[in-house]
Amino acid sequence: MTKHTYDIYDEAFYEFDVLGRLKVYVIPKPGFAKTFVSASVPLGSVHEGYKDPTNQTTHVPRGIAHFLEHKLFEYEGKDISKDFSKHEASVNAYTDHHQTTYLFSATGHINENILRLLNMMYFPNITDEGVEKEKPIIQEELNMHGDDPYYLAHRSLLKNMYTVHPLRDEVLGSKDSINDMTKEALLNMHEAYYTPENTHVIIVGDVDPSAIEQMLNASLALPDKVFKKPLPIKKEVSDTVNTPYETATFDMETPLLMMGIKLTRSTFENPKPIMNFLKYSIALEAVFSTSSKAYEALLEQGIVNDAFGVDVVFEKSYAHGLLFAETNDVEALRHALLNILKTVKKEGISSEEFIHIKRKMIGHHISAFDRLEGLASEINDYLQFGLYFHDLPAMLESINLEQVNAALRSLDEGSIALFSGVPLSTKQ
Amino acid sequence: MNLSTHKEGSTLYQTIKTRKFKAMRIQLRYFSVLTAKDATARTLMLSMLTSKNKVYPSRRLFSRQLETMFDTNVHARNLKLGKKHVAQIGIQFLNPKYTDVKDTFIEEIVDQLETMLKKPLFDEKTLSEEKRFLHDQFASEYANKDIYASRRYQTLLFKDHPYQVPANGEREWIDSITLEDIKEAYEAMLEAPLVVSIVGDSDAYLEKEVRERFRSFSPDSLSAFLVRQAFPFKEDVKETLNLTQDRVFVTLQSDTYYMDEDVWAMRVLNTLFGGSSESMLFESIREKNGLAYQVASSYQPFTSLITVMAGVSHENVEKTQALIKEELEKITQGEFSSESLDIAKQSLAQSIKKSYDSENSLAVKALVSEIFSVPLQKDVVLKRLNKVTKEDIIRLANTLKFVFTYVLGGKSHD
Repeated sequence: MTKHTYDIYDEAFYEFDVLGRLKVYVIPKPGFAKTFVSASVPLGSVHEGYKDPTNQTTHVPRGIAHFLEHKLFEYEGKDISKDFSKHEASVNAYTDHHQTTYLFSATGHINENILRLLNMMYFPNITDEGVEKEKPIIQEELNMHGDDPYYLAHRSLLKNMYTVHPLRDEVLGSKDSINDMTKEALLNMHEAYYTPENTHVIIVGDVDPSAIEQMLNASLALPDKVFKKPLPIKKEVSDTVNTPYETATFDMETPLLMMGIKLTRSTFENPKPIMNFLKYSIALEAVFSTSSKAYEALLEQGIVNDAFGVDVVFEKSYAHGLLFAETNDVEALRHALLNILKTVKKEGISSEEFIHIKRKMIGHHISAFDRLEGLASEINDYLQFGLYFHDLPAMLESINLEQVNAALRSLDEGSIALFSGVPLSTKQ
Repeated sequence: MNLSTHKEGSTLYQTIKTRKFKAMRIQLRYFSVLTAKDATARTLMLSMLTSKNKVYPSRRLFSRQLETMFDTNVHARNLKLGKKHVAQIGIQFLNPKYTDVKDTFIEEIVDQLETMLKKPLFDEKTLSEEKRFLHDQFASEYANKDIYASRRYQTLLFKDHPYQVPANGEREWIDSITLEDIKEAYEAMLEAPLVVSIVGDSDAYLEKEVRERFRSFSPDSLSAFLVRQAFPFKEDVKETLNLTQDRVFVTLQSDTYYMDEDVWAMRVLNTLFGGSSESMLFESIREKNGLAYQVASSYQPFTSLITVMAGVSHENVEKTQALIKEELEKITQGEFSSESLDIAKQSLAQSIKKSYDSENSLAVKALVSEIFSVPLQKDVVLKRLNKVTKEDIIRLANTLKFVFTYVLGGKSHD
């Protein structure tokens, strides 16, 4: 077991391997009533199939990662959630583009529930009846999103940004792909992706790391090593977007505008992609946050309101910046945003802006240690890149103003896509 | 965790001292009963407090200052607690020991909160902006059909009831609010009873500063929040909107209110019925029949109502309503296992324990404990929960009456 200590903010975490295969991270939080545990596997909506030992590729229906997440909660026709509930835990899971995460929060029976979670993940019990039963439930989940203009706008924007990358696809799949799901496809994908070597287990709470290590090494059963392998994720070939601007009507009152800034492959296919993530985060936050000159000017023009925000999304196979705004003048805002980017490309951000954004990010980082679920999620995100979330202040410290301005200069007009949603009553 | 309480006139000071959080929080809560127009004026006024003030006369300058203070966060919003509107103004900040300005940070924080509260900048330009924002907020509720359906349901349900005025007021009042109304709303708020809470690793200096700088001028102390008023049966309402999924709300009246002996039993009943993913509604409507992805019930002790909400395809609305009735009937007949009752109690017990891990939740608990004389200590609360029996659940289930159903969706319901 290795202990990492961060005296500067009274934090520490422990990492160890279980049975030489599973990586576990324990973050002790004395005084907290609940313990939060998450376990993530790198199977998400961007994964399209698997290879068998003869190197033959098999493609699977879209939405399989999410469908599998649902099915792992069933064992011999019963819902495993009840077993967690009987032992002071509430369990859940979610699937996104790159991974599936299983999690529980508990106020007792921690060891037992950790074993229960991992057992549920590694030893599926999927039946044909169970698969058929799940299809209408997931169809209703898909329907729920069908009424949400913000969700639909975001999906359209991603399609306009990415031509080939499977980020274009809905995490849940489609009506047809859900209907095409089979037990065999689910089990084969499970075998290829749900391996201990691929999993990060994160435990946050008032726990004893040594006791957990001992318990897991003594009691955890792991599946045999497997022979099916994940398929490499399809790469986006172009650094430019396929559709710079699109508009659509929705049943809503206030128009919205989303802007996506596609980052080049060199930013994430890089030995230190997290450093690039931080540079772009500082850059876009300085340019578009609610304390920025740009936002102030847009407010003065009366073309934005207080529903306005920017984010940077970074994964191993893609990265982009995302801005969201509500506006009563889509055209004016669209042109204003493009002009703002042209200007900051030339002028960069000031030293004052740079310092204050870093202080903001450090404050936000330290506060994150109070929210156990969010903390586990952040730790997991950094682990995908082989880094520790706890080291963020040091990483920020190593970034200088010129690097951030270089990141801004690298933004290209061809890599920007905008999508507007307007009310049904608006004439085009 | 240590709670200390101190009263001065119509101001109640509560300090919850705990070392487990890295952030700290000071909150001021003013309590009033408002009309729809006054609630709207107050909502606008509170937004103006957080946007700028006489020391930082632009949004950018104020935001910038707070961000530089290690992402210090201020908020001011209107909430509801029973029939009371609560103006909640707060500041959340890092414990000074994690900053590079340890010696002066607390002083700066209290200064910011005091400036926000006592040096407001009420001008026409800011009022005009905030009106536009509030209009857009109401408009955006329509875009999110879950929120829109819930808002329509609440409006219809609470028509002519003492709780009918929503927390943020009503959209139709926005344009008529003047700067004079804003100033009146501000003065009225300062004259309302006040609860001040501090949560975190506080010290005597912070507590002293807070007591000296924040107090109410009200002659009144905190008074009754709760109204016991039965909801009469209302005819079902179906509204048509082109949705991919209908939203169904079914309301039951329980006659068990917040301070009643049976409130814990009613919470357990709700959890068993539809309040968790192990509940009877979840099992029946989602798992067995595959009709919904989301289905749940919630119990509101201030109104005594239980509301079931489900998102289902239009052709399955009637079947869903029938299943809701069927599952309730089972509970009235005792057709549920001891295991499922235990699971419901465990689920609630977990929620209770976990709520002690949140600064905001601790502040609310301390407040509610003081106002309603209910226990704060976890063990006492859990004991009351554990005492609930199967007989209690059956007895209470037999007091539930269906009073109202609202459905939004479908191209046509006929």
